[in-house]
Amino acid sequence: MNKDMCVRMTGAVLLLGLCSYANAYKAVEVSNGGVITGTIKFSGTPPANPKLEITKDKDVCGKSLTADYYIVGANGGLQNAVVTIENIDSGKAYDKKEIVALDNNKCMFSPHVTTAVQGQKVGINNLDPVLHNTHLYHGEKLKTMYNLALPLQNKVIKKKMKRAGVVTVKCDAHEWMLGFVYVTSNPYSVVTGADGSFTLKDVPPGSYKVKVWHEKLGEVTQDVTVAAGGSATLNYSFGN
Amino acid sequence: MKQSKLKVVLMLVIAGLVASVSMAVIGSATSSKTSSSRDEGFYTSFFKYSSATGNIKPVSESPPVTPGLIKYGKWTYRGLCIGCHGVGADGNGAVWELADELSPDHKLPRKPRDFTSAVFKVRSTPSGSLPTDRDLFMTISRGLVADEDMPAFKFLPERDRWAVIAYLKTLSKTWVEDKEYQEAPIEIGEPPMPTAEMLIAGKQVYKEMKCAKCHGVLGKGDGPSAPQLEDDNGLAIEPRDFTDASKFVAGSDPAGIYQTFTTGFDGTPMPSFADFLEEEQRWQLVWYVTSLRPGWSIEKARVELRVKNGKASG
Repeated sequence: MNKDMCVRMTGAVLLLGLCSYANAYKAVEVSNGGVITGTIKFSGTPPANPKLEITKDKDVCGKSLTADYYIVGANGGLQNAVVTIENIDSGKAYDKKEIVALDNNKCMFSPHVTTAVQGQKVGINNLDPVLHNTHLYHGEKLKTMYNLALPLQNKVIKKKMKRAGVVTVKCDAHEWMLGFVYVTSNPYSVVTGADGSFTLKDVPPGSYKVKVWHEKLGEVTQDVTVAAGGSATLNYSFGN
Repeated sequence: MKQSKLKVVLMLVIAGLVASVSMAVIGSATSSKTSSSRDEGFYTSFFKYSSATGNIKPVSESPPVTPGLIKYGKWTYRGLCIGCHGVGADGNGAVWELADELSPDHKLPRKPRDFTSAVFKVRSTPSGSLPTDRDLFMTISRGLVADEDMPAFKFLPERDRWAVIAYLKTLSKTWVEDKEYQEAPIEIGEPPMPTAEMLIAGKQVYKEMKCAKCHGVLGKGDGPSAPQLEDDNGLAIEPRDFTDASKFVAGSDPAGIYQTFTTGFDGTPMPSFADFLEEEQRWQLVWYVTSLRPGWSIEKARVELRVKNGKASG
């Protein structure tokens, strides 16, 4: 065996090792778990959501739609932020067969932001009597992951989320449509509610890197320590 | 031995290019590519040269993938593919990057494939799955001539095409990472003989699947969604005009059309209709779409199919 081949084989072994590491989340019984809870806010005046130009299918889509990028409540609570634990290899069990719903409803994606665990399927449905095509992209370069026609109403198409990361969802037939599936390698992820609050349950005691992500505001990572049976707080404010 | 063979091929290519470039310079107006606004330089001539001889469907199996084959593929890639696809194989070759400096007419209509992201347009596999080696072989051979972007490379010896494929599959970790999610290729049976009933049913399928939204009621590629369509690179892309048989990227034959709407063209707005169509409907749609070509008739299509079937069985 020559040196070059040696290098190649070492590379292959390393690569395989890395892949198995990426899928290495192990479900264990969490008897003394704690919770991480808190509120994600936007301080100051959030940018205005743009009016979307409706160019077709107005009878179904409506004459005017407003984007749902920034949904900020009275107390500054920021909806549709994703909170997820980044570095956790083992923890609570989750239903691998759970179908994560993603509807095309009145020419918007509903929910606008959702989460899935890598390997879970997203169930895409079209509630509108028009052609939608749900085009999922991964990564910042927005490379096609799936592109699925939905010419008929009420038929759910299920597709596996293959890689962790942000999946951007668009519709080529209605260029204003936009949604996100945040795919994680573990089940500790949640989308903030209308008041910006969130809760992550059954977290094994330990120190974690917790990421907060928002489609327009970017992401931050915070250190959070969870005591056995305890409750840890994570509050964060985007904006000024 | 094999190297000297390739050298001969390369020299032929270069000779062909030189000859055709000078021809293009002398008489560019005589080109048959009248619809293109692109400058009639070496690129256009290369189209003509590269599609002059050779086979699209592989006759041979791929040789075993060894470091030697991959290296040979890389060597071939560096020689023939690098101009458009780039040293980094990300589609940023000089032909793409320098076009703006030269003139807008030199711009390719589509950005050359970025092999590092491993998204492929023409596949026998479902949307989201990687293409088979055979799919890649056919695309290299056929090119994407209908889109006027990728020339046909069917003049290359089959071994060289297989070697390039082996090399391409080392350029993205998706080929390793997505293995467990890879879905099997679709099965395409023998097309049934077209009938008048089939065309009526096919027209109904075309309506129900709402193909007209992009491709237009008459299939001319002028539906209401057509003006806004973009590919993954944010470049405008036109829905196919079904009345022009030369515009079918994955082949204008029944199997090519069947594959296209079943698996879609990843990286473009063309989605997969796999979940909404039974096999019978798919053939109805294939024949309806085919029937939109001027001068097409059931009788002629039946004769053509019979001849083809005869060739296949005889």
